[in-house]
Amino acid sequence: MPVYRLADLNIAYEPQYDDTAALLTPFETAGEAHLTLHLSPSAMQEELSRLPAATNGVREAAALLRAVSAQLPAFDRLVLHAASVTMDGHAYTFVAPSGTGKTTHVRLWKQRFAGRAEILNGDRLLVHIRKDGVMAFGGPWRGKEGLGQNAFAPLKGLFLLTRSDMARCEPLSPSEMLPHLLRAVRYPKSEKERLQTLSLLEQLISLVPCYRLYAPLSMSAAEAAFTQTGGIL
Amino acid sequence: MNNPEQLLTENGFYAATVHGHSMEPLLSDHRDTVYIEPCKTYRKRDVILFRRANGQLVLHRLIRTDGDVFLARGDNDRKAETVTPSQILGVMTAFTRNGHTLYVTSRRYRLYSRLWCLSKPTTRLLQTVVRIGRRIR
Amino acid sequence: MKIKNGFALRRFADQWIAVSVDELADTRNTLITLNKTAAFVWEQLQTGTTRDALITALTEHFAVDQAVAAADIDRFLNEAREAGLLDE
Repeated sequence: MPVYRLADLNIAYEPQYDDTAALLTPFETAGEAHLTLHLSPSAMQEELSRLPAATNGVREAAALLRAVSAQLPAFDRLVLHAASVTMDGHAYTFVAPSGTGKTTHVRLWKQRFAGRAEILNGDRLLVHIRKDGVMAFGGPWRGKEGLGQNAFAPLKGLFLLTRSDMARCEPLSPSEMLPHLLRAVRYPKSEKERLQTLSLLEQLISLVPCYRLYAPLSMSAAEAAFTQTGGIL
Repeated sequence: MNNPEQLLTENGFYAATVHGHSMEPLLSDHRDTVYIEPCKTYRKRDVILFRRANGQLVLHRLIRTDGDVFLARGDNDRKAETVTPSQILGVMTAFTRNGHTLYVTSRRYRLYSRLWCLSKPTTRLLQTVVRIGRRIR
Repeated sequence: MKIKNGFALRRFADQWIAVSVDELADTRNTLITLNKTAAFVWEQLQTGTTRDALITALTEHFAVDQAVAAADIDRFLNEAREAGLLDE
């Protein structure tokens, strides 16, 4: 069974469809598995009802995302619905409801800081929350546009993105950021898992500075975010 | 006895000498004069003239203006009381102290009232209710 | 008067949160962020109390006068009621 390395975790999984295998191949590793995943027929059935018009491969990828999101917290890792960039050796990630313009924003980073900035992932960021900091990983789920790399960097800033006429970036308190992060992660049903996820989110917020980013659809937004975290243009 | 409501309507303002100690150290009993004007909207930290249910005229500061019922308290008082907008005659726009007239729009006064309000303890209860919808699109 | 069952109160960074931990409750997808004073009131409500007792508790524990405490408690209770969190 192939083993894939996602967020520094070796996951054994047998892809059912070629499309899914193609997404995962860049992450293949030789190491021993920490975790083995199987998708039950009911998991696939659930995706069928959610995505009736999608191909089997897309559905399998979605089901796998769901399964991985459920298992990762036990390993101090989370999947965030966010768009992320790397720049000068650090990662920056942007959360917002769908349609706010996360993908556009990370594209603007790449435009403004050509050669320095790369899109780490356009849809789902994997993070490993460690005692000394948070490591951000681009994973196989890259959204419709397929934007992302198999790369990683320490997470330097967590931004709540809001559309606006003028670019502005200001610090955001943990309790203000929390509701938005809750909507960007899988919020478990069971008490134990819920408290575990909340504990990880608390650690995440304590280790990574949070900001509110008022972002117009222009490169000034990327500049505002970068300089707020101490970056030199 | 003059009728403040009437004077406010006729002249557009009402001037009176301060009685009592509830607005010290800003306003001194029997020494300072206040100028009241009618007002349409009230803001926190405004000093207002209002009539209690028992008919008594009171000059106190608004400490809470969100909601239908406001809270007012003298700068030198511990207890606040509830006030409805209908009880309010007007707002203080200027006052004289030791012969000098000070307008509430002046920086010095605004700084005083802001610092004074900050120094008073509050129990503001802050809570936000968050609903997390079922997600993973 | 009580807060509905099925919530766990815990610290979260600079504040407190009340998390629904009852998978079957109507309030199962609700989370409330609270400051220190609100968490204090929430705790009282977890064991059961009255509006008057809450006002007294606030004035005793925090150096504020009764009118301010009453206004704050009433607003808190209204919001909790509207969010379906109170058992009365």
